[in-house]
Amino acid sequence: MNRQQVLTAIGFMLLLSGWQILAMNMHQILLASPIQAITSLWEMLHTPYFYDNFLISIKRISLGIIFGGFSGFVFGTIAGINQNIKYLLDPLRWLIMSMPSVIIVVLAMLWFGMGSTMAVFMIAVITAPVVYVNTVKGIEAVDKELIEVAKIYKFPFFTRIKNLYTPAIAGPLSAAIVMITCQGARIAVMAELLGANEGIGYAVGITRSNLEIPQLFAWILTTLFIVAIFEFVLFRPIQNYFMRWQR
Amino acid sequence: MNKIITFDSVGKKYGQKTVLSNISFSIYEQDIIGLLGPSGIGKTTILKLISGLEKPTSGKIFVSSKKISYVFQEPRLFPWKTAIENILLPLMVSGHSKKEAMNIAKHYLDSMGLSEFMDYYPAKLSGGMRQRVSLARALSLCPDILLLDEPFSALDSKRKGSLVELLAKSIEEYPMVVLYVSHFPEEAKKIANKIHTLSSKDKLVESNL
Ligand SMILES: Nc1ncnc2c1ncn2[C@@H]1O[C@H](COP(=O)(O)OP(=O)(O)OP(=O)(O)O)[C@@H](O)[C@H]1O
Ligand SMILES: [Mg+2]
Repeated sequence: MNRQQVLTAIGFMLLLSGWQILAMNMHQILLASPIQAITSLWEMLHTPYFYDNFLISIKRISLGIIFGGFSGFVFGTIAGINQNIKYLLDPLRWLIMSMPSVIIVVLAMLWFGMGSTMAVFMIAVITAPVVYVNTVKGIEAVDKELIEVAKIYKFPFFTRIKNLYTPAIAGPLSAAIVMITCQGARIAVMAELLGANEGIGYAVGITRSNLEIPQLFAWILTTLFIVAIFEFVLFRPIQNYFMRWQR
Repeated sequence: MNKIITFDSVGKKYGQKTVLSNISFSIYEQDIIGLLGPSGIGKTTILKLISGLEKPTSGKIFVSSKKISYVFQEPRLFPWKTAIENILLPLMVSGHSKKEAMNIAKHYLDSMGLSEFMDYYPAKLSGGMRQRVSLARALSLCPDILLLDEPFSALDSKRKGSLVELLAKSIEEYPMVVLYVSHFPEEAKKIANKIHTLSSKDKLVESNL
């Protein structure tokens, strides 16, 4: 283990102990201990109720970040290459990024009713500008000297996208994707809590009204687990693959 | 002899700054031009005008061929592509099949003494090796016009000498019009058969060797 891993592990243990100490000093109606949460999660793992809600949330998060990520990437690429389009899109970007997410939930519920469409829409709308901004920045930072090489050797449009722009923005883009995954999971849970009949957020709402505190914390752990899977199992290896030329 | 490149009273400004004014000259088939002149006078600008990377502000430029290779003052390799991939890409864009491109790229890397390093990323190559890859990329396309902007300025004199020889050999094997920018007349004279000296922004002196 290197220094980074050791310190991260220590930080993680400190966090867990802090939680344990806090739980021992607070009423159990307010905070479940790590052991209670994990025991409760273990019990939940044996019920179909868990998997139904877990899977539907995963589906919503995936679809949301796919739509949001893809549209942010496409518009970001276009706006990064063409400054006029960037200026045109700027008010819209500002509008979405400044809008409180609770208001977006309210509007999404009004337009799409309760359920998956609403949640996916919300995640997509909130994550798209993050990817958009990072893509634009990345493309604007693409080496002008390499763009001249592409001109001299007459690379067609898609060759430039694939061999010049995409690799050049792989760094900022993968950072943005990790960011929107965390964001997507948080938004999904909120959207489900406020406007869905299934999913982790919905289940959290139930535990709260029934005052099932260990279950509530079991769902919190589940959400963190989802983000961890996306980040470390899915995106880090992809990132490492695309950035291999730097090592 | 056929004219390949003609500058007709060409002027170039960057913003308010006049870099070239009223420059006229012609370059013919089989010309190998050493382009000399002090630093900051506009030599790179002339190459950029020929290649179309910059447009003249006044006057006219005629270039008879679109097959132009350009070796810049820096290697300018794609850092996310290996040495051989850097050469393959323009070859495939220019219409070669993957297999043809592979053979050509290997041949040129070999002639630069780099076959062992073909799978290295540029970050793992020395400055001189990178510039040789860049030169291989330019030559592999068999251009009609080869623009070389102080391609060896970053190399030590021994390396430089052998690369100049290598370049001279390649030009002999595959005739093309060459513009070789340099600060050093002796170096240019090793390859060139004509010398053009840009002595001020409106004065280009031509001399045969
Ligand atoms: N993109 C640009 N914008 C503004 N000024 C420029 C630009 N490119 C070059 N210049 C200016 O034009 C002049 C000529 O530049 P150029 O690069 O052609 O000179 P050079 O003869 O190649 O010099 P060197 O031998 O140092 O490479 C310089 O004064 C430079 O500052
Ligand atoms: Mg120059």
